[in-house]
Amino acid sequence: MLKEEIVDKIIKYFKLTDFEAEELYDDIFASIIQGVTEDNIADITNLGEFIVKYSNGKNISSEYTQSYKKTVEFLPVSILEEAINEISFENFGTVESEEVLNQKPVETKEDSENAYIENEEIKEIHDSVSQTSVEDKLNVEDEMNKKREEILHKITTPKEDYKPIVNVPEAKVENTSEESVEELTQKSFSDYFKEINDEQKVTQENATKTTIIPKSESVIPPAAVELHKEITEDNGKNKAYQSGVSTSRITNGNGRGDDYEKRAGDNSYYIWYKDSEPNIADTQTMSYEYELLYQATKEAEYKSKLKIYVTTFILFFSIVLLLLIFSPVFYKVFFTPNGTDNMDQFQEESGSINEETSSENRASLNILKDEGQINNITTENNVTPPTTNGEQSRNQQPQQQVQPEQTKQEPPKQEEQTVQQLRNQTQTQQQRQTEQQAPATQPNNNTNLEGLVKNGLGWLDEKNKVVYIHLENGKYTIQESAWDSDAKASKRVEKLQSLIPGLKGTVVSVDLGPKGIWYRVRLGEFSTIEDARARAMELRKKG
Amino acid sequence: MNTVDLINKLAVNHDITTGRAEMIISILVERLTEKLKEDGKAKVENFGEFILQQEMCETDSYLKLGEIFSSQRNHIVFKPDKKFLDSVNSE
Repeated sequence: MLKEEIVDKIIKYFKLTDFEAEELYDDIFASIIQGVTEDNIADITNLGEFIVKYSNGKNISSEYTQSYKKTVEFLPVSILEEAINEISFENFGTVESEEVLNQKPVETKEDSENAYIENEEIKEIHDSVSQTSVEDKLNVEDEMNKKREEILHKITTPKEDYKPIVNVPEAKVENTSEESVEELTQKSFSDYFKEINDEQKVTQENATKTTIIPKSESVIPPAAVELHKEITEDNGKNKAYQSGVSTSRITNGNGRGDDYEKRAGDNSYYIWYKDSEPNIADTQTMSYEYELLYQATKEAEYKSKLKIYVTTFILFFSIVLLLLIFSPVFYKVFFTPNGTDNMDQFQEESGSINEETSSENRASLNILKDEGQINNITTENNVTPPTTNGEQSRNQQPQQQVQPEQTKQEPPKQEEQTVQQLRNQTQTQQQRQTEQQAPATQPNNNTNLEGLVKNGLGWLDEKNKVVYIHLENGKYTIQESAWDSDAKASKRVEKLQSLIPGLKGTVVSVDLGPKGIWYRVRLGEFSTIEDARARAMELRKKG
Repeated sequence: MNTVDLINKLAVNHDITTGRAEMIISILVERLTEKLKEDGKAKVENFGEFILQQEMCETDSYLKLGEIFSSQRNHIVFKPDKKFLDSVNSE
């Protein structure tokens, strides 16, 4: 019975109970009946259509249908008709005799690749069922999974290396060989199929001989495979992607399994176009060209700036040379007010400038000026113009030379002086003359002192850089320095007094005429030059 | 009614997946065709009977070569069951 067979299959393959299987079976046809009654048509794939028809009373075959107004007509599907009549496209070339046709239809296995996957699976199921009892224990799902794998194998493998699972019908080949010679000579429509069959056979034979693994080059470029390896970092895997597919574990019917991810990883093909690879030569040339362009631009910029650099350098160099060459002239012009050849003035100015700039004060002695141009004001603020210590030695010789000149210049400059100043001058001159003339009257210490040089003011001590002045009262005083301002001189006095307690300092102002008023710092009054010298020594030691 | 409707109905009524329902229907159809080929008929209770009838057609010939062959076709005849007809005519 058909029902029993189908129910048994349902129980085996789908693990259902007898009751459930029978219910299923009955429900199928019940639902078909329901569909026909409701819609007047029921279309079932691979079977046909059940259509309601109003009976005319003519084509009624059965007796009970005569009483009904409506009947049901069945229109089978072409596939079913072909299956029944065995008139498929592939079998079109075979010529069957009447005896063969009258015989019961024999099961023949179709050789079409375009058959439904379901049909193949069903056939395989049937084949598996007809096998030994061991296979009955197999799970339906396992079988389904196997079939699914095979189908995937078909899909993944290219057609050249495809090894069909379905057995090749060899009977047809044999039948063709048994045909008569006439058929071979006269190319009938069936001969074409023979050729095709031969080709298929050849390809199959080649496939069996050669390995299933296809050439990766034809399918995937090697660069893509290598890139895929680098990405996945699986060097142990084979290059052939099919091997991974074929050796993968059985998966479920839904396609899930442990190897699903791996398969996805293996089968994740990268569309890699060879032209998209960066050509190394192109990159090198591009970089070299870029470098050339960069260098050229830099050179152009440098050349444009080079002129500027050269001109500026030349200008500065020329300026420096001019300054060096004409430096004394500039100095005279800018730093000497009158521009006279008086070295004393020059020295005084330099000394004054130096004292202005330097923190420490240096005394300047200008003995010749004192003689010629001194307008001693009998106040406590009489001062001598300062000069540097280094220039004192220079001052000596020119001062002596200038003395007579200054004396000549004195009378016209002394017009503005008071009578007391004139007297003082004469007195000082007389004192100096007496000092020069009668050095013997003076103590022997004055003339015989080493390191002392007599000048217009008094005795010049080069070592201590002071001048010992012989005062009117017969005592000696130390003239330490001369300043152009009273404040500076007084400050100097305070400083020196702080160094040596008990030492009295005075500031004497002197009008030197064109040079201005100078303030001379004088310290103490000593009976002898030796005492003054000793005190000067102390001063220099301390400060 | 379509196969899709049939499959969905089976799946809902019997708590099975649509794939299984489809498989069951395909099994049924396949077995039915085999039965027809073997026995020439197949009967389904409370549904009907499928009968295979042979028809002797005229001889045909190949168009090109003029080769004669006898084309004999089989066609299926369906005889609905009483219950089927009752349900159809009940409306």
